[in-house]
Parts: sequence; structure tokens; C-alpha cells
Amino acid sequence: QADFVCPALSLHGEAFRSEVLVTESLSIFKAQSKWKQLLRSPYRVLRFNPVCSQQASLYNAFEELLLGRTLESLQFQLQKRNGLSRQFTLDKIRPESDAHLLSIKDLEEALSPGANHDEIHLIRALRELVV
Amino acid sequence: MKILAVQLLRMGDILMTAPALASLRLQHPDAEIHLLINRSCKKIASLLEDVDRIHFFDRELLQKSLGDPNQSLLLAHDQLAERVLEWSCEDYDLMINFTQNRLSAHLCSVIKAKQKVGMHYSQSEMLQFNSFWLSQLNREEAELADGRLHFSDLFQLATGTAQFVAGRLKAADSAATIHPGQLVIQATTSDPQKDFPEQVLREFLRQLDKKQSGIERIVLLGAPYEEARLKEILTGLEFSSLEIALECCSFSRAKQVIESSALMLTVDTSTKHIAGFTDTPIVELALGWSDRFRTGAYQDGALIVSSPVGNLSGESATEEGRSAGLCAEQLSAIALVDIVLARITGREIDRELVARADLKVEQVCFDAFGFWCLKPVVNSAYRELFELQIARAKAQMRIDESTGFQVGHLSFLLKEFCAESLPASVQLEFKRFLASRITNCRKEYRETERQLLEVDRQKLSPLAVIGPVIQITADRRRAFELKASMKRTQSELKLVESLDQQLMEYS
Repeated sequence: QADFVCPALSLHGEAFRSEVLVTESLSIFKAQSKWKQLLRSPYRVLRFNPVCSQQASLYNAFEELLLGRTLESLQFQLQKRNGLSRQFTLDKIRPESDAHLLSIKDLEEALSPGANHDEIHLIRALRELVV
Repeated sequence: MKILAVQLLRMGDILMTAPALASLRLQHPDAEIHLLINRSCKKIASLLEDVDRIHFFDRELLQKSLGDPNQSLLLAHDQLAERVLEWSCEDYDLMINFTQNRLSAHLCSVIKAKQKVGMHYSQSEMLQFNSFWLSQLNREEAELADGRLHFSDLFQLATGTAQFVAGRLKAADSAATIHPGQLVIQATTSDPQKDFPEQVLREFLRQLDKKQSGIERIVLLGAPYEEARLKEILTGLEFSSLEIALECCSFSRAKQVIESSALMLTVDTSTKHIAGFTDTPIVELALGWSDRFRTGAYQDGALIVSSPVGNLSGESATEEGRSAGLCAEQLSAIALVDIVLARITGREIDRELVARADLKVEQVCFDAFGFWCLKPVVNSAYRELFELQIARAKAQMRIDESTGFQVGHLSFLLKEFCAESLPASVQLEFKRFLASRITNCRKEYRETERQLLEVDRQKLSPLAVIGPVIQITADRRRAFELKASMKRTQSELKLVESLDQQLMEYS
């Protein structure tokens, strides 16, 4: 089972609303249809240590998926954002090692030949920031 | 009408864009003018008069997101996409990119606007400028020595203006009271090579104190974070007649201080550009990489002091100077005192003293057409002036090369250009003419250029070299001669316009 709950809402009201996903497995986590909406807007990944430390390995896997800094997690993120997935060919990315975290440079290299004009220049603008 | 001006460089660059913004306002009085700048420049942008709304590019935030492994890889992408969408929703009629770098080009490629001017990529991924002037910006930097247009002039020309106007800053609530005995000094910049060398500054203050020149108060300007450094410079100094004050303050306060002073002695930094909007006379020290031809004080009468050794950007920087930046340490404090006092009192500079100190002094002026120019004050020997003219002519020729120009025109104009008998305003008219009437340029041009380079090397008379390639018909000659003898009266301007038209048709 997987549910989005908001523990702060009932206690502190709308201003403190923040949704928490409560789930038991990675597969259920990945299958959540609600990701489609959540992943489309800018978000930050927060770690709530009292809970996360209980299931550290599971939490790390969740976190990795949300950060999209590995090939698998980036693929997951792009799958949830159909418009964006067409812009990149992830096969082009060759991580130097398993520990290699993806960067904007990898994203630039992964741009598909048929990527649209706006996406190309958005990624290239970001790439300029880390030159 | 809605216009977006993009200036993603530093604070000084934003201030140098102010005349272009004023020009846009003049050309489109009812337009809503927006400005896109880096968020770190927020403080300076609030001083600008001709901007209705400012948008910020969160460079540092995006860089942090991109570099932080604990943030989503797509976070910066989404943040930027969101901002781009906001800007695009403004539905701009015109967007002008005054920044000549790849970041701004990519950004301006994705922000929607009906018309785009300045570096951007078209839908077919072609690099486009849609402006003759902005297309030359980088090229000039890379290839031209000292015959370049000031950034403020170039930005104004990019707006399509036919008439230069002055940039404007927001006026203070109350007019400043001028203290005739107050000298304000901006000694520090974000680039140590451009800084007023500490020991020279200390010596300068000592000499000024000795002179009992009427300067009673020195205000050292700086950013709030520079206070400790400025205090350290003053440590151990004692003065008999000078009072020294520190002003580590905001830009608006700095403007007030400048306005209340008799003169500003400054290095190449953003407060220098602020001073350019005031009536306070400026003496600028162009040190390090400071490029006085592009970014010099934009104020009529301002003096720019540079050193053949001290300036690393220019034509005569020595290898030692380039490598060590030690040149600035050799600046003569005594000569600087003389220049400053001469500027305040209006007396002549002691040319011998300044020349002996190996300093070059130039004065800013605006020619009859409004172009920013430098006029030699010290070391103004004919040879130097002549070399400057040749360099500018060469520069203009390079500008023309992209769109082409018939070699006959170039040669003839260059000949006239270099003729001693022509007044400066006519020479400048020719330059302008060169830039605006361009048709075709071929192999002969390159040959001419090669010969000109040879002229520079051998210090030969250019007329002897140019002579053989002059190919000009009698009609054209007559037209140019009429143009050369024109006076700037209304009727004659009309005549020139009709001549221009004839020349266009002829071409």
C-alpha cells in the first residue's frame, strides 16, 4: 500500500501542508500515479531523520529516485514526464562508474537529435552556468 | 508595446546600458521597458530611471541547484523553465540582448518575443544578431586593437537610434550640496589588478596633504565589505591639513557623495559609471585589464590616466606588465596629484612632469555626432594622434568587412580620413559614413589591410600605400567632396541625406 498523507495539515492547518508518502516497497513507490503531477514542478528532497533512519536503505533508494542523479533514477523521472523524455536519449550517457552522479553535462550530451529548440537552449544555458 | 532589455553581465555593464534604455524610451515613449539582470546586481538596477520593471536571473541559485548532489538534477531545469515561461508570458514585442555571451544567447533563444535583437539562435539553430552593431561586439574584442566604439555608444546604436541621448539615473530626493574642498576616491574594484595600488594611494594622500592645495577632505568610497581593507590602507597615516572619511555604503549613498564632491578620482568600477551620470568631474585611472576605449568614463571632459606599462588590455602593455601586474605600483603619485589639481582648478597639466612619469592622459569628448572619443592631453604628439586615426580607420574597415564595402570607397575615405587638414568632426563623419554605407568588399580590401599593417610596422605614410588602389569615379568624388565640406546646418544635412540617397543608388 501507498498513501499520501499530510500529518501537519490536521495539526497546524493549510499553511503547513506538506505531503508525505507512506509506503512499504520501492515498486509501489515507483508506480504511484501521483508522481506525474509532483515531479513536473520544482521540488526539493528533504530528509526527516527520525523516520528515515529507521529504514535507511529503503529511504536512500527513494531519495535516489527523486534526485535523478543516477541513470536509473533519471530514467524514472523522465518516464513520469512524457514531454521531457522525448528530448533525451539516455543511451548516450556513459557513467564513468557506479558512483558517478549525473550532472547537467550528461544531460546536455543526452539531448536527442530531434530535441526541440527550447529544450536544447534551456539545457545549454544551464550548462553555461557550470563551465 | 513591451520591450525586454537583457544585460546579464556586471553592474558596470548595466550602467553602461542606461543610455540605450533612455534611447528606447525616447523612441517608444509609451512602451513598457523591462530589464533582465543577474539578481546579484539588484542594488544597482534600482537606480535606473528608464526601466519599468526588473526581472532577475537567479544565477547563483541555479548554480547551487546544479552543483548540489542532494538536489534533483532536474530542479534547476524546472526552475529556469518556470522563469522562462513567466518572461515569455509577458508577450514582448522586442527583446534586445546587450550581453554577448553564450548563456544570454541560449536564454534569449527560449524567451518568446516578436522581434529579437542581439545574440540568439533562430528556430533553425542559426546564430543571429539582427543588429549590425551587436554582431560586431565580440569580434571587435577579439580582433581590434584600439579603434573600438564605447559600449554605451554601441548599445545605443543597437536600439536603432539616429540620435544619441544621455542615460539617466533616478534623482535623489534633495539636491546635493557641493563641497569645493572635497575629493572622493574610489580605490578598489572586484579585480585586484584594477585597484589603485595601496602604496601609491598612501603616497598620493601624503603629497596632497603637503601641497596645501585647497583639498580639505578626502572621502574614500567602498562597498560595505571593504571597510576593513580601506581602514588598513589608512593605518599609520597622519595628515596636517587633510581630513579623511570612509564611506562604505550603498550605491545611492555613493551617488550622493559623488555629487557633493569637487572631483572623483576613480579606478574602473561601477561607481565610476555612476559618476558619469553626475556633473562631478572625473579623473579615471585605467589600470590592469581596464579597457578605456570600451568602458572609459562616459562623461564629457573626464580625464583618463593610463600607463604604457600599467594597462594590460591595450596596445602597449609590456610582457612584464602582463605577467606581474607590477606596473601599477610604478604610478607616480606626484604626477597624479598634479593631474587631479589641474582638473579641479582648470589649469594646464604639467605635461613634462606627467610625460616623465610615463603616464598617458586623455580627455573624453563627444564629437558632433555624439560618439564618445578620447582626445590626447599629454603625449599628444602628431605621431600618436596619427596612429590613433589609422587604428580607428582600420577598426572601422574591419566592421565593414562583414557586410562588405567597395575598396575604392574605403581607400578614398581613408585617404581623406588621414588628411591633416580635415577637421575632426569631418573625419568622424567619414567614419560614420563608412559604417552605414556598405556594399561590397573583395580581395583588394584584404590587400589594402595588409599594406596598412605594413604601414604601422614601418611607420610609412599611408597615402603612398593607399594611392595605387584608389578607384573612384568623378561622380563619387564630387559627392564625397561635398560631404566633406558640409556644415552641420539643417539645409546641408538635407543635402547630405540626398547625397547619401544618390550614393546608395549609385552603389
